[in-house]
Parts: sequence; C-alpha cells; structure tokens
Amino acid sequence: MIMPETRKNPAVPLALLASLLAVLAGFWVLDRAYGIDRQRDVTLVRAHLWLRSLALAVENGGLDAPDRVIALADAMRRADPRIGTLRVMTGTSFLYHSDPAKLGRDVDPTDAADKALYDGGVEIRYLLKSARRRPYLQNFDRAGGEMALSEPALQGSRRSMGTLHVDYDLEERAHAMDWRIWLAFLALFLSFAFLMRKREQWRWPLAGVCLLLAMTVGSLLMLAGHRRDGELARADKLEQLARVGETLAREAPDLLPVLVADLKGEPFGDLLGEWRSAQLQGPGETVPVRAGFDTVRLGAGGTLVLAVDGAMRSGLEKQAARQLQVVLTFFVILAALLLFFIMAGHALRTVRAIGKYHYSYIMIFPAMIGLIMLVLLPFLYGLSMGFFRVPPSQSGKWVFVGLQNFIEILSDFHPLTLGNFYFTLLVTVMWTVINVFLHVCIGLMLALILNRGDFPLKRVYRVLLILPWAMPNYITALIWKGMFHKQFGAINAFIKLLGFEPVSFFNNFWTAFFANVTTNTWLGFPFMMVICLGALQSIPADLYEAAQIDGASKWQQFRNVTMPLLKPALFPAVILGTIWTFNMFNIIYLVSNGEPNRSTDILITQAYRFAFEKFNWGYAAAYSILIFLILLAYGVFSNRVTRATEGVFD
Amino acid sequence: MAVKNKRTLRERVIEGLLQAFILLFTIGTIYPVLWVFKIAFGAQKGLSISLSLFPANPTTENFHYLLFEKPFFAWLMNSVIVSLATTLIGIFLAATAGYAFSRFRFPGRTAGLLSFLVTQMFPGTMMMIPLYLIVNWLGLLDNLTGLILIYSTTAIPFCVWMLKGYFDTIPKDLEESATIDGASRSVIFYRIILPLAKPALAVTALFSFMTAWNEYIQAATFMNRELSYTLPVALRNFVGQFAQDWGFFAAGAILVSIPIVALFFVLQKYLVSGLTAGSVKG
Repeated sequence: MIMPETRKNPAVPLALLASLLAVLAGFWVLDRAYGIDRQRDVTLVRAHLWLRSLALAVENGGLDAPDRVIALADAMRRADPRIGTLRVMTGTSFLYHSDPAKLGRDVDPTDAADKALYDGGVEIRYLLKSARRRPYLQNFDRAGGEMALSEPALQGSRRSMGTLHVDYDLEERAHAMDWRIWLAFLALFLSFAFLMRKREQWRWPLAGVCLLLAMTVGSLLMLAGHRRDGELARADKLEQLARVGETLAREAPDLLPVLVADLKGEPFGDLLGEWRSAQLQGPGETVPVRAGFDTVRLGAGGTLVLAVDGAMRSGLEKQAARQLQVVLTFFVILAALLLFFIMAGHALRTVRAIGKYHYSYIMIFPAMIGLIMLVLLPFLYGLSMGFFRVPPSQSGKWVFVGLQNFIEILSDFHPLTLGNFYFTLLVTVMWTVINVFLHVCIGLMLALILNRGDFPLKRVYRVLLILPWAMPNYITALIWKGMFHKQFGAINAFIKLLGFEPVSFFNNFWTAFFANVTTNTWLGFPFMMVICLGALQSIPADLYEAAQIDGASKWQQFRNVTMPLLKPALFPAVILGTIWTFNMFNIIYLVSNGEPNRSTDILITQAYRFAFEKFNWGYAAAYSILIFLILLAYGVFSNRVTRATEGVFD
Repeated sequence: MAVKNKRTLRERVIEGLLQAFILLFTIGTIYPVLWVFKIAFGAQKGLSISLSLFPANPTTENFHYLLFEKPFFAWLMNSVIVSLATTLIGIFLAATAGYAFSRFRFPGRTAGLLSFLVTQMFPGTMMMIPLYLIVNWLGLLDNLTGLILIYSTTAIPFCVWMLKGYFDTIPKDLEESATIDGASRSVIFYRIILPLAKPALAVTALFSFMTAWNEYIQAATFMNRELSYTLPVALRNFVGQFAQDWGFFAAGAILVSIPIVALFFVLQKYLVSGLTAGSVKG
C-alpha cells in the first residue's frame, strides 16, 4: 500500500543533509584509519632505528664493554626527547636502564614492568625460532600516547642474546581531512540550497549530482592530502635516520657501516621497507647518486653522506598505497558505469523512483548501510580471498591462484587425510540430519504432551524445559564437556553406577560424536518445542471436535488435523534450524574440539582451523565459500520444495 | 473439548506414563544446570566423581575469588555495555526497516529482504578475517565500539525478518484511518504502530541482547587485553587449554546466566506469539 503524498515533504533537505553527513563521516573514518596507519608506521621506524643501533652495539662487543653501550644509550636519549624508558636486558640483568637506580641490577621478578620485559624476551626467542613472524613485539597505547617496542640483540641470525625495549612517544600527525574538504562540502550544500529554491522540479537530480560532486571532490582532496602526508612521513623517517646516524657517528663510528649494512637485512627487513641499497660516503669519496634517491647527510664533520635507494616505503605504506589504488580504480569504474547509466536514460528513471519512494528508502537506509558495510563487504572480501594463496608469514605477498584452492580441496579423495573435505562433509551432514531429527521429534513430542488441557504443573514444566535455550550456549557446551570428562564427569559416574567401566569419550570418533550430539540436542529441542507449542495453540479446538464426531482416532486426528496445520510453522523453523546446526561452531569447538584428530570437526570448524591455526587464509576462505554454496543450494531447494517462504514476499 | 466424566483404565495408565516421562525428562534436562551449582559451591579444583548434586564441602570461595581477585566487574561492564548498545541499535534500525518492508512496495524490496535472509547463511569463519582486518584498520581492535558494530549488524537481519512478520499481521485499517485524520507517516509509526508491536519488539530485544551477551568467538578474536574481555571470553579462559579451574568457571557461569535466564522468563510469554506470528494462517 503506497501512502499518498499529502503535503510538501520536509524530508528532502533532511535526507540530503543526512547523506552529505554520511559521506563526510565516511571520509573522516577513512582519514582516521589512514592517519593511524601512518602514525604507526613512522613511529615504528623511528623507534626501530634507535633500538637497532643500540642492539648492534650490544652485539659487537657490548657484553665485554658495557660502558660503551651505556654511553651510546645516554646519547640516544639526549638526542631524541621522544624516547621514554629505554632498557637493555641481557641474561637476567639490565645492561642498560634509563632509571639509574636499576642500571646494572638484576631483573626484579616482582616488578610488573621487569617481568613483562622478561616474558617479552621469551616470546621473542620463540618467534626467532619459529621464523614465521618477525621477531619483535610492538604495542600501541593510544591512551598513554606511547608505543612499546621490544627487539632482540641477535647472535648469529636466529639466536637472541638479549632484549631491548623502548617506550616511544606517539606523535600527532596532520590530517588529510582538513578545512578545504569542509569548505567544499559547505559550498556544495549552499549552492544546492540556493538552486533548489529556484528549480523545484529538479530537486532530486540536483541532489544526486550534488552528492556525486561532493564525493568526487572529497576523494580528490583526500588523495592529494594523502600524497602530501606520505611525503611528510618519508621526510620524517629520513630525518630520523640522519639523527641516528649522527649519534652513532659521534659515539661509535665503527658501528655506522654495520648499521648501513644491516638496514636491509632479515629479520627486520619489512620494517624499514624496500631499500635496494644504502651506501656510506666517507670523506673524499663519491657515491653516485641517481635521480629518485634520497641522500641523508650526517652532520658529524659534515662529510658523511648516506645515499639511500628505495625511499623507505615500508610494507605498511605499500599496502596503504595499494588499497588507495584499489579504491581509486573502484571509483573510476563506478564513474564510468554511472556515465553510461546516465547516458542510457536510466538515471532519470531511478531518480524518479527514489523520489517517489524516498520515505521507504530513508527508513531502510540505516539498516542497509550497516548490512552493506559490515556484512556484504566483508563477505565479498572473504569471497575474493578464496582465489589467492596467502603465505603464512605476514609480510608475504598474496598470490592469485585462481581456482587452485578449490581444486585442491575438492580433489582430495583420501578420506583419512586431516581436514579432508568429503569426510568432513559426511560428518557434517550426519551431524545436521541427526540433530534436526532429534530436535523436531523431541520438541514435537513434548509440545504435544504439554498441550493437553489439564496436564498438571504444565506451566512449571514449560518454564523448566526452556532452560537449556535460555542459558548461554558456550556455557552449556563447556558444562557438557565437563560432564563427559573421563574422571570427574557425571556421565561416567552414571556409567559406573550401572556397573560398567568409565569411558573416555573423546578418544573415539563415535563416542565423541555422541557427546556432541547429546549436547546439541539438549540445547536445541526447546526452540522446536516452543514453536510447536505456539502452532498447536493456534489450531482451533473445533477442528478436533469435528474430527472426533466423525469418528477419527487420536492418531488419525494427529495426522490429518495437527500435522497439516503445524507444517507452515515447522518448515521455516526446520530450515532455519538446519542452517544453524550446519554452522554450529560453538558446540563442536568447545565440547569435542574435533577430537580425535580433527575427525569430529564439521566443515565450519575445519575452516576455522585452516584460518587461525594453520594461517592458510586462502584455503580457509575457499572452504568457507564451499560451505556457503552448499547452504545456499539447500536453502533454494528446500524453499522450492516446501514453499516455506510463499506469501512472505507479497 | 468434549469432557468425558469416566476415564478408562487405559487412559489413566497412559496419562500416568506421560507424567512420569515428562518428569524424568525434565529432571534430565535440568540436571546439568544443577551440576554447575554443585561445582560452583564446591572446593576450588575438586571435581569429584559422583552423581550427587550436593558438594562435599560447600563453600563460597569460588565466588569470592571470582568477584574480588579477578576483574569480574570490568568484564561485566563490558558485556552490559555491548549488549545494551547492540539491543538499542538493533531494535531501532530493525523496526524502521521492518516497517518499510512490511508496508511499502518499492523497487528493490524483494532484493533487500532476500539479502537479509541470505546473509544469515554466511559462515562466520569467512567473515571473521575480513572483519578483523576492517576493525583493525579502523583502529577499533580491543575496543567495545568495534564489537558493538559487529554484533548489531549480525543481529539486524533476523530482527528485520521477525518484525516484518509481525507488522504484517497488524491490520492496515488503523493506519488508513489515521491518515484520513491527517496524521503524518512518522506519527503513525511512532505513536500507533510501535506501541502495538510491543510483543515483537520484546522478542527482538531479547534476541539481540542474547546474541551480544552470549557471543564468544568474535569477542575472543577482537579483544586482546584481559580488562577488555567480555564475560564469555573470560569464562572460557578458565577452562581453556591453560587452566582447569572448573570452580571459577561454574561460579561465573551462574552469575552470567542469571540475568539472561531471568530476562528470558520475564519475556517468555511473548516468545511463542512473536515466533509464530504470521506463519499460521486462519
């Protein structure tokens, strides 16, 4: 039913204002995100340069001559006021500590900061050994305005001889989203308001053009701002390099070439980014400097020139640049499509449609926006991840492999390999069918019993039987896990009572599966019971009376009166229940955790393991896509068959 | 229903059997819950192998430890804030959208409804990595706002469908007469429709609240510091790989379940009508 337009709708300028504000908010969010990225990037490089130089001092004879390290550290702190606490821990004592009372003393296990540093050292050693992630720890404390960075001093390439830690101030950076963007938006809005007065009937096309202009101008301005920001960041990093170099040149000149050589090395390579070479020019030498190089002049004596090739674009920056390129490409394609759209005359029609139904669109706009941004976009992102191979190390490149992941998953026909798709699919289907069957049977049975007119204590039973549904399902999953515990569980107590040996439920596929099914059934039958109860209560009693008068038995009444009228309520519930059970992550993960040997895992837990335990994200994404396709096919098919959503879209 | 004064023996036997069955079944159903109470009030690490529901040495030390030695109240505040915010946002956004889908016919309506339905099928694992990257990018990792955003958008599709179904059952004559009386659409929505939809709104609120209060996996992924955990994550860590503190877990489980179970029971009379609205014709 369409509501007639009874008067001039004040929603129009409000809608436009809301949209402009939404776009502005979008830009602000983007800007903030990039700003945070940038800040992280620059701060990390600055702190790392200091720590690396100090680590070099420790590595090159620092243990035998601690005074040199101490002097260097003090000089560093004088040179850069942004350094907060600076600590060097070797073994269990502080080779250097910015607090003079702790300098040279042992690590104090009761002091929280000391203990944290010690634990950090342990973790760094582990990272070095596993070689999967880069061996440093960083932590950004935005509230305190500081970044904490811990790095090892290396012995060889994979062993740590000590841990260095610095608390470095985060510096506020300029935002790309400055007054020019605000001005542009304001100008556009004012001109629109002015034009609207003049041309009533062009309201909506003007609004559309205005919005489009605002987005284009805003994007261009922001891109320009980001470019400028990038230049500033690079300049900051180079300035920091100069400062570090100067301090080194003064205090420990023999370390300068070591630092220069170290700038590109593993395992910190990605922090400083893509440097192809860095060369030191001593007094009297000349280093050929090509266009596009950066030169960093170290002031000591004014004769050392560091020629840096590669402009220090770190991994983070490259990623940001790539993202911006993607966004820009997206915009260009969108603009092209829009142009075509307008040319083909569709635009006017859509605009008229929006104008006609604008009230509806305004009302669904907030929900749709949330849906698009936080459900649809991640979904598309996840979808595209399935076509890439993502290497486990964080700095690796994503390689486009097309359908390779899918082929690998679907062509593995050995059912006993870990995480095999077909085996897991079988387990999942079995899991779903058994569970839904039990849910419906038990729920229906209980509903029928409780629906009898004069059943005593009906209310009490109804309330108690909903309890499994009311309690949080992760809690009940863990409770049941406890109940299936070999030594302390209630189930084994019961079994012992009956005279049998206690069973270890999670060592055997069938018992583990049984444990999962029991838990899920316990959790799931109240939902079906409530639905059946509701549907049963709305079946008019006359129908039963009429059937009874006609001589139908109870069973015949059930089959011909109850079941047909239950179906419209049951079918959507069963379909929904099937989908939920198919994707029931919590129970499988918390109760059996896939024991034994990932055999009781269902598809969704397998996908989770590939993603968060093996870090094979492309594979996990492909797995998830297959899950989704299966469910989609099921949904479409069951909809056709049961016509469960008939009449819903009318 | 025709009342028979004389009940045959067979009917009585059947009646008795049914009552016994339901009694046993109910006992079996609530046994695990009572088992938790037993562990919560027992000694800290003691899990004894017995079916009895009474702890050997009843003590409240688990509760003491949980409430005072651990940042339980911080976790509680986190869960409360996240759940309440999710509920409010969820109801408000779903109510307007559900009303529009129910009353108005506009291009894209079917597609919109379908998209809400289809997004229910997205596997959570597929969404978690992109969501993590997005939330990280927004700088909202370890921040309650990020969690609220994600929970709201997860709860909305289901709420929209439920509210739409309920709005479908409200007769349109009310709105038509109101329009004739000169009421604007906003007035109709806020003053007439919403008060009528209280049962459905209650159910929607309950589901949103439950989704946020009970959600574990996303909270575990996005919250890193112990102080920003929500209750599910905190409780899970008690019995995770690194600990077997069933006593604390049980105590926490009781404390966590009480509000949600209470809410459930208060609103349970709306559950039945809210869930089956519009599905039974005639």
